This record gives sequence, structure tokens and C-alpha cells, in this order.
Amino acid sequence: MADSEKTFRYQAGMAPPEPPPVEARRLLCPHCGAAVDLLLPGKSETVRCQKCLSILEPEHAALKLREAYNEQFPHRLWIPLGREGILDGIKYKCVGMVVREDEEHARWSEYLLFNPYHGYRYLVESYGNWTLVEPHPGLGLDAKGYPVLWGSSANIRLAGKKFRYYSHYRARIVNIIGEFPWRASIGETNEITEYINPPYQASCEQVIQYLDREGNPVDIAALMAAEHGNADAQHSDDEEKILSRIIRKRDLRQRTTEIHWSVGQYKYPEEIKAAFQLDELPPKEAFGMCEPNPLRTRFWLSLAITALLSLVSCASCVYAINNAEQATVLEKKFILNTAEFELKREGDTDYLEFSFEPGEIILPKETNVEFDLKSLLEQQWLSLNIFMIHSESGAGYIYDAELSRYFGVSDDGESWSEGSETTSLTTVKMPPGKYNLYAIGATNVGIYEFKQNLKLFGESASGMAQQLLGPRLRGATQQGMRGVVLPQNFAGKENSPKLELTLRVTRDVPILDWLFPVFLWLIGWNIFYLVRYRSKEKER
Amino acid sequence: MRELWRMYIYLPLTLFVTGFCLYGLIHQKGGQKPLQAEKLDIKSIRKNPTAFRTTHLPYIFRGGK
Amino acid sequence: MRQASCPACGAPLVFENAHSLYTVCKYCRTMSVQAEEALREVGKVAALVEDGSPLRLGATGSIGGKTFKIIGRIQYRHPVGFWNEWFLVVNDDEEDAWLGEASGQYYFTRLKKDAELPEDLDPQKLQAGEAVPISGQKFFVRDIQTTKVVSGEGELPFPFETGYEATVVDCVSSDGDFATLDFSEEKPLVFIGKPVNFRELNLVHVRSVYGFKATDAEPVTT
Repeated sequence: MADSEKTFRYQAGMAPPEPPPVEARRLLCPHCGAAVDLLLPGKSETVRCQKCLSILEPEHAALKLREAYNEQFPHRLWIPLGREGILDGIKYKCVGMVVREDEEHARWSEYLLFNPYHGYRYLVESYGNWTLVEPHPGLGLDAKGYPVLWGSSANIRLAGKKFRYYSHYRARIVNIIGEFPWRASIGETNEITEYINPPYQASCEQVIQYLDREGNPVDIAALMAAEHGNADAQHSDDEEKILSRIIRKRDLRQRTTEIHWSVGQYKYPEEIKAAFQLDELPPKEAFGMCEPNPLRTRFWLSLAITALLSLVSCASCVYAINNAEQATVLEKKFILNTAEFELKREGDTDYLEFSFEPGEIILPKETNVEFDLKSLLEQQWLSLNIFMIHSESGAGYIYDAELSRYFGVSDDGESWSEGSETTSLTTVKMPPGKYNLYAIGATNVGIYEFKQNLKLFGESASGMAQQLLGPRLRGATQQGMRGVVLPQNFAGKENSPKLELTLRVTRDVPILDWLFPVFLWLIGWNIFYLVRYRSKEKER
Repeated sequence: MRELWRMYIYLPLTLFVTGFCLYGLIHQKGGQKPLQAEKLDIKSIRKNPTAFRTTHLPYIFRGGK
Repeated sequence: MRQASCPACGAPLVFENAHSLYTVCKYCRTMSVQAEEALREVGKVAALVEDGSPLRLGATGSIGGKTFKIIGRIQYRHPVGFWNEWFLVVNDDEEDAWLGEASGQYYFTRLKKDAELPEDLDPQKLQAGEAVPISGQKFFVRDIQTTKVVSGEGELPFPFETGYEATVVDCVSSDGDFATLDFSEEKPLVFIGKPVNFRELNLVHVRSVYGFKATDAEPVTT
């Protein structure tokens, strides 16, 4: 053989040797003799016989037994081995499946997909939710730009995206089927940290080397296996405790030698079903870890609609303001002498009644009218009935306006005040035309002085006044009854308290009260959608 | 888009509420409604305001009865 | 491009890259080296292991507007799977370029002969996640692995030795650059570049493997 190679001479036109094509190969299981289809010779380092479930290893052109089994695969393969499907425009072949579980015995399946040009992917199925996971060549970095290590609950950046911490757990391989490019075995555990940014997900796994006192690496798996044999049965599944016991006993040092990151994207079940031409899929039993939150979309939609409608509202508002004339048609200050008022009683309340004529206004077209009333009150009240009398038809429109202001100091020394010096009312749209204004008011301004003057200058003054006040007023309690008036002229009439009030009348003012219910409505719904979105997030 | 259709209560109600309110805003609906009276004559009121207050006012406030 | 013939079997050899000093004859798998105008035989090299790689000598592609051709390869065995370093000739480019490839992951790198590394860098003491400055740029260690040379083919700027073991440290920077430190020699070889995906390489003349046609390498429209 060596001789013939040495004597090999090139002859013109000779074709260079071509390697044979790479394709799936049918081999035999050394344990049960069944045919095993090795889909990826040259890539796979582990393959499982589908008949007896023995774990085999391709070696040259045959299979070598690594672990013998005589079992039936107890898990359901939703995507059959060898099935091809197109995801994100790339054709993959399903070559293997791993069933894993965490400490809480929550289980999920990882289908190993392969494309020779694009590499391996994991299609993870967990309670009916699917995620396509791709190894990422980078490292997850924290806010300062440093790699985050395993188990870190910081928020990270990877593949140009931000992710938030989701969980850290230890996953155990429950079962495997198909073929794998690494030495796969059952029972192996691995710690995983997961981060999410729906529909994306990032996960981090690390490879740790254990070194003895001299700095030589030790075979931790062998030590663990040996310790498993020693340990009591009830401790047998507590990997972490065994590991820490070995580390303590042998004084081992840990060294992280590899950090593997991968990025996943949520896939809707319908997409998986169509891609792999499946008839059936596992039922969706939970809200996926990186499933896009539909309520988040709805929340953003409601915010967008709010923004849009707010804009429309503001535009309508500008329109309404621009279209309103807002012309002041009357502005007058009235100084009324309380001595000319009429004392009346209603129930136990004495008050002064008065009337005056503010003037006349003209409405050229059908518009509303705004009345602004102002009076400097001090522990007093004032109530006004404003009559708008249409000069042609004689129709009267009566509006009420009330004003009061009280203030003082409470027992614990805090000063307080209530009411105000101004009030304003806007009418509905009024028919066009000329209006005479007439106002009838009631107040307690000057009532004390009125009663004093009544005692002094009443119809039968001095002694009589005391008695007079009682029965006559009592007679006036019934509404509409004539009250008590002071004589036309009496000494000190001019010095009686004055009621000062300012009335301004504006026609065609914009009514913007409509905005309030719109905003209240929109804000209410936004809060509703925000609360629903946040509570759905907690279901992950 | 699918989520937009799922907001089937929110969408029509919101469009109705805002539509209604903005209609009111543009057409300047609203304002305080008056109490109405008929056949008032400013000249006769002016002549005897006290009588108007004492007799006519309660009549108006009773609703014209 | 230079023409020569294999000193062992006389087959025609072509050097497409001016930096190529070594070449493996595809007929008789003899490695020869250029020495003073002539080719000198170095010795026979081991056979490559079929690793199912979709790349091959003669495949062409383009990256960042520059076209390249695969002209050589060194095959390594990692603890998990195979790793190929494909030697490229890049149009209008003096610098050596390599395409690292392992099961669908690709790294386009260039050998930086003047790269500056910390003096006391010991790959046995490094840990993943640790910062390593390379020529002033901050890189972080992603993995530390021991690799073994399997074999090679085509033309190469340096020779390889089957079974030679070396520690290789892969690093990434915060802006996505990638660096490989190859501790096979006294002074580590430094390759700096970027991870790329298959589509960015615009490769043509790739191999059909495992029943996937070369046309499947292009995006499939559903």
C-alpha cells in the first residue's frame, strides 16, 4: 500500500480524487441488531437506537455501544425524527429530541434541528409554547458593558437587544432520542440563567472546570457518580449538595472555561404546525415565557388611540375657540344701598331681598351668554336670579348665580376659607334678539345694620320696633309675602352698608366642558389595559 | 391588527363617547338651562319691582301655576 | 497566481495567494514548501476526516463588497465537533484572511501579526468572562478549549502537524468583534474579525450534504 502511494505519478488529464458524498447511512445497532439510520454521519457523536434505546456512538463506519437499554421511549415526539420544515426561510431537519426538567419537575422538550449551512437550532416546546433557539457568538453584557456571569439577575444586552432577568435553574436531562453532535447522556444536569424580552429570550450556560490543589483539572462527573453510589437514597437527586460536598472535601477550585449564550424567538403553534406539516400539536397549557403579551399590544393600542383622539379633541377645541365670538356686551359695577332692600324671612333665616336692572344686551344670532359675577364678600352670601327678557316676545329666561365667601381660624390655629369672590355661568344657546336684563337678589350683606335701622327708624320707631320685628316678620315667612322695608328717607340712610357687585356679560363663549369626559374615559381605559397587561405578565 | 379587533368593547364605545362629546364641543351644546316664564314686560316690572318680587316671582318659581 | 508542480507526483499546483508558502497536493497529499524558486517536499499528510462541512476549496463568496475564494484549510477537532479554518484569497487585499467554520457558525478573521497582548497571558489561568486587552481594544474571554490538528488541504501560509494540540481562546468585544488567540506557538497567533452568518458570506459552489441541496443554502421562500 505504502509502496503504491510512493510510486504514484500524476498523468496529464487525471481527475483529482473526490470525497464520496455525505449522506444519511443505515447502520446496525450492536445491542439489538435493529437498523439505525444515522442522519448526520461525521456530525453526530451520539445516536440512540429507536428499537432498544441503547445509546450508541458512531465510530468509522459502524456503531459502538456506549450504554445498553431495553426500553420503549415513553415521551411523545410531536415532530418526528427526520421531518423537514421551513422556519424563518431556512429548511431544517429534525434530528433529535431532549426531554428536560427543572428542580420543580416542570418538563419541556427540545427538538434539535439541523441545516448544514446554518447549523443547529433548538426548537423548545414547553406546555404548548414553542421557541426557536439559536446559539449566539457574543456575550451578554451588563449596563457597564461587562459580561454577566451565570446566575446574575442584572438586565443584559445581547444581539442588539435588551433583556430582563427571568430565572435561574438547574435542568436535568430526563430522556433523549435521535442523534446529537456531542456525547449526550441521560441524567446530566446543567445550570441555566434565562432572560426575556418577548418575543425574544436569551439564555446562558457555563462550563465549569474543577481544579485540585495543584491546579490540575479533575473529572467531576466521575467523582459525582462515585459519590452518588455512597450517598443515601434520599439524597440521590440532590446534585447541588453532592457537588458542594465534593468541592469541600477535596478543596477544589472552580474555573469557568466556557460561556454559551443563545437567543430564542417565540413561535406561534400554527407556524410550527404548518412548517413541519403536523396534524396535531400539544395543547397550550400556560402563558409562554417569551410569548408576546397580547395585552401589552392592547395597552399600547389604547395609548395610541388615546394620543390620536386627544389630538382630534385638541383640534376640535381650537376650532370651537376660533369660531366663538367671545364679545363682552355688558360690564358694569353696581353699588346698591342695603337700606333700600326688603327684609324677608324664610324658615329661620332672615335675608334682604333686592332687585336692579343691569341693562340690555343684543344677540345678533343664536348664541350662548356667559355671566360673570364678582363681589367682595366677607362672611356673606349673595344669590341672584338673572332675568333675560326678550323684548319682542316677552319670554323670560331665568338663571341663578350664587356667591359666598367665609373664612376664619380654626380651633387649632389653622386659617381656612371657602367660597370665592367670583362666579360664572354659561347659558344654553339663546334665540337672537334684544334682551332686557333684570336681577332679583337675596343676601345677608347689611342685614345687621338693616335690623338696627329698623329698630331706630321703623314705621313705629323706638319701643314699638322690638315688637314690630317679631310678628311682621313672622308673617313674611311664607314665600311671596311682602317683607319689611325701611322708610324712604331716614337719617343715616346714606351711611348704610353698600352691596358692591360687578356683572360682566359675554356672548358666544366656547364651551369646552366636553373635553373632560373624553379624557376621563380615555384615561380610565388606559388604566384598565395597563392593569390587565401587568397582571398577565405575572402569569409567565 | 388581531389585537385591535379583540378590543371590540373598547373600540366602538370609545368612538361613540368621543364622537358624541366632540359633536357637542363643535356644535357648542350645553350650558345652564333657564327657568322659563312668558309674557314678561320690563316696563311694568320697573314700575313696581316690590310687587313683581312678591307676587309674580313665586308664581314663576312654581312653574306658572 | 503562480504555477508549479508537485515535487512528489508531478501534478500541477497553483498558488493563488502571494502569502502561501505551503501547499498540499490534492492527488498525492504531499505537503511541499516554497524554497528559493523551487518547491521542496515536506512529507505526506494525514487524510481529512469527513465532517460534513458544506464548504470546499474553490468556493467563492463576498463579504463587505470584497470577493474571496477558499484556497486552503486546516481541520481541527474540538472537544465537541470539528472546526475548520479556511484560508482565503481576498481580491485587492494584502492581508491574510481566514474563515472559521463549525457547524453553521462562521467567523471572518484576519491574522494580526503585530497585535499586542498582555505579557504574562497564561491560557491555563484565564477564565471565561475575563477581560483581555488586544492592541488596546477590550475583549472578553468567551471560551477556552484544547484543539487538536486533524489535517489540512490546499495552500497555506504556514504548515500544520497532525495531532498537534493547542489551547485556543475565543474572545468577543462589547461591539461584537471576535478574536481567537491560538497558543500553539511561543508567541500566540491573534486572529481578529467578526462572527458572520451564512447569508452574509454570499457563498457559491458550496457542497450539497446530508440531502440538503446547495440551492437550499439560499433563503427558501414559503
